[in-house]
Amino acid sequence: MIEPVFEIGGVLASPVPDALLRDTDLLDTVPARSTVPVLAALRPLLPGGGLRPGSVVGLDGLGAASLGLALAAGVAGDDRWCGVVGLPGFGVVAAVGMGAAPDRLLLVDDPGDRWPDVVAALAEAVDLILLCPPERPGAAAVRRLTALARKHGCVLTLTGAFARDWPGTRLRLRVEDVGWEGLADGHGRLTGRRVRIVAEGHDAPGSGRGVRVWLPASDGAVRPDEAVRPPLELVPDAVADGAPVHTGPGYARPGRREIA
Amino acid sequence: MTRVLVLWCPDWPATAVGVDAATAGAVVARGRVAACTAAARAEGVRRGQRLRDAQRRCPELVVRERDTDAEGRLFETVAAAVAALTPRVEVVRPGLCAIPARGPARFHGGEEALRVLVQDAVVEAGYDCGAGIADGLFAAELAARAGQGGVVVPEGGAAAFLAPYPLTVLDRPELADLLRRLGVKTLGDFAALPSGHVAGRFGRDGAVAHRMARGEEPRPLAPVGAAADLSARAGFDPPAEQAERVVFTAKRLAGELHEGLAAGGLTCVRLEVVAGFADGHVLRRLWRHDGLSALAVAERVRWQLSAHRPSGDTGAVWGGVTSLELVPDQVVPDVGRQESLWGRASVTERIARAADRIQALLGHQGITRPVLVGGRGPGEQVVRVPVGDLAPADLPDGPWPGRVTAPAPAVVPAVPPDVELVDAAGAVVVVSARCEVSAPPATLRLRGRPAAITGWTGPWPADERWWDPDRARRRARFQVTTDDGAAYLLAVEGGRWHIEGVYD
Repeated sequence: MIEPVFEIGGVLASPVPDALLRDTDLLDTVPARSTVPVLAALRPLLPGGGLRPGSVVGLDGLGAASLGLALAAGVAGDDRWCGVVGLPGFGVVAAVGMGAAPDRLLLVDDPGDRWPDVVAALAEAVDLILLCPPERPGAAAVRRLTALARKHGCVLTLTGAFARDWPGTRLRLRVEDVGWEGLADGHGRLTGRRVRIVAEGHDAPGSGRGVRVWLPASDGAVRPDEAVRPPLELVPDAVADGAPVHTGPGYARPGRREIA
Repeated sequence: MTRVLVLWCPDWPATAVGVDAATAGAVVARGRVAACTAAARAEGVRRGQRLRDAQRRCPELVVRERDTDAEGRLFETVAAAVAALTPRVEVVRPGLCAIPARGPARFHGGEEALRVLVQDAVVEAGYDCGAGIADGLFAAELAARAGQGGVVVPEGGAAAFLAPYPLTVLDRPELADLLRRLGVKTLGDFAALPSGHVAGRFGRDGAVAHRMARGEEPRPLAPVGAAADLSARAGFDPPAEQAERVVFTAKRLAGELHEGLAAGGLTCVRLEVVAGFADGHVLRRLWRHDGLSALAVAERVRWQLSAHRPSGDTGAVWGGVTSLELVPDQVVPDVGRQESLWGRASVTERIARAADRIQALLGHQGITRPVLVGGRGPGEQVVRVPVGDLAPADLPDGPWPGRVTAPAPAVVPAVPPDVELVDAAGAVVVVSARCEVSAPPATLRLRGRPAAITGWTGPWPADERWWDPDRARRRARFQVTTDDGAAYLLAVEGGRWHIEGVYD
């Protein structure tokens, strides 16, 4: 993807309001035009507000499937195309819940040993490929596909057992502090999951750049998790005496229940 | 509502076996009168009578055995006479044929003129007939029988035209008998009943009869055009060992195919390329074909051949190609560029090219686009349509009671893996017919690895298609979370647990 040079120069040369310069968070969340878009909730995670075209992204561990869905939804929800290779269990309904347009997804469920050729063909056409290599990728395939992805500006996202075997991965995403909500012993239903997504690697400067999100929220979308868990407080002595606890108006009783 | 002209030849079984309408004659099948001539009817012979009764009423009755083959054969001459006026003829049954009337009526100067013209054409061919025009097949058939040689029922007048007819014309003896005993004697009375109640009381067939009585169509007219084989084929002798030779021939064949399709004003949605090899291998593959040029078709033949050649080897595959055939699939009328067929506007050239290359590697089903459809389980809500095919139309739209609520699982295994769900005592958790859980689940064992259950909910019963024993499914769903941070959608069916979705 070739971006006109004057545009980049234009942004730099334009008089940027001082307020904007001071508020670096705001700058971070405005996606640059030359990046591959991600969901709004994930923008604070990435320096440019999006994925660098032609880069390689690795996903592994618990929650890798949801991260893959979220990245696919960010692309397919922005009128761009996304290819999914080697993932027959790709949760299309969940991706649509995160904001993907289903007609912008191309699924190659079972590429077999032709997967390098499939990825090569897709790399010319789509903006993001979610790839689960069915075998340990050979050095020649890695070189060829990485070069093709860089040439065409397509983000190669790796998941599955061999995701870690791909040299030159610029960005790794994983989730931690996983907490499912809504389920109890024999009743309720899954309503959402709070996670902290951590980005590591060259494309995410600083160690442990993280963002707290609902992945997914109760309607299936990905939302920033703004609620800060209140620290546990000791129950005031008054309870021990059997007297009611009177607290100020609009102030929830501290310590009586944990917002889990 | 389509205007239909019906041409009806009275007592066709009798005509077919050579009994003149003026002589009293009857055609019998299995000892009963199947049809009789007008003269015999005047003597009191009726359809369905036993032959002995018929002969008692009319001693000089000429009796012939029924010959259905002759009926069909002879009626071809009638259909040909009608087809000379308008080519799209639907033979409803021997003795009755229908044509869509709107176009021919405009051409021949009005419906009455068309009716007389068709009737004259058939009478000239040597057969007595009636012709009628009305809204829909049922009304038109009665119009053809009405009056002296048929009438034209004006547009929208079908209900009024049908109202005085008795219920027997519906050809549903049981329904007619029941309605008569309920005090409903004519089609008009029947049509006046509320349609919802009729459907509730008399079922699907009754509802169809009610639609017919009200002058609506039970089914649309389906004329059949000439079924020509439009495929193009070529043989190679000696077998073509070089792909170039095959591709060159493919270009010529594609030109022929396109000419044949264009002559009929047709185009095809898909194209099947069949390549036969000297050792008996046959390579079939479907290709999207919306407006491909002959050169592009040849290109696809090249891809198909190259995809099955061992890498780098330019020599003969399987003894060389002996035959090549291009078969059009899903032939549809050509309406210019078929923009709406599969959202061409949304598929860019880059995407189409990449999809073609992948289909050359993996086959037509290799690359798909998901289409959301109705369904309860997360796997049932998605249909994967090969790129280039038409998305399914007329999908049933909810509500889906018992649907698994959002959020949807991130992984929906194509083949649900079996798991074991056991309680604290180590016994497999069982769900009874009344949806009672034997004990709270404590451990989930997936591929031998145990994980402790931290939260669970269920059972959510799903009893699907209980009316169809072959496709009925009865299962109960559970959601569980485990101590390693994972969450699963489990289903138990016939005592076996499997993972329907992973909330990874």
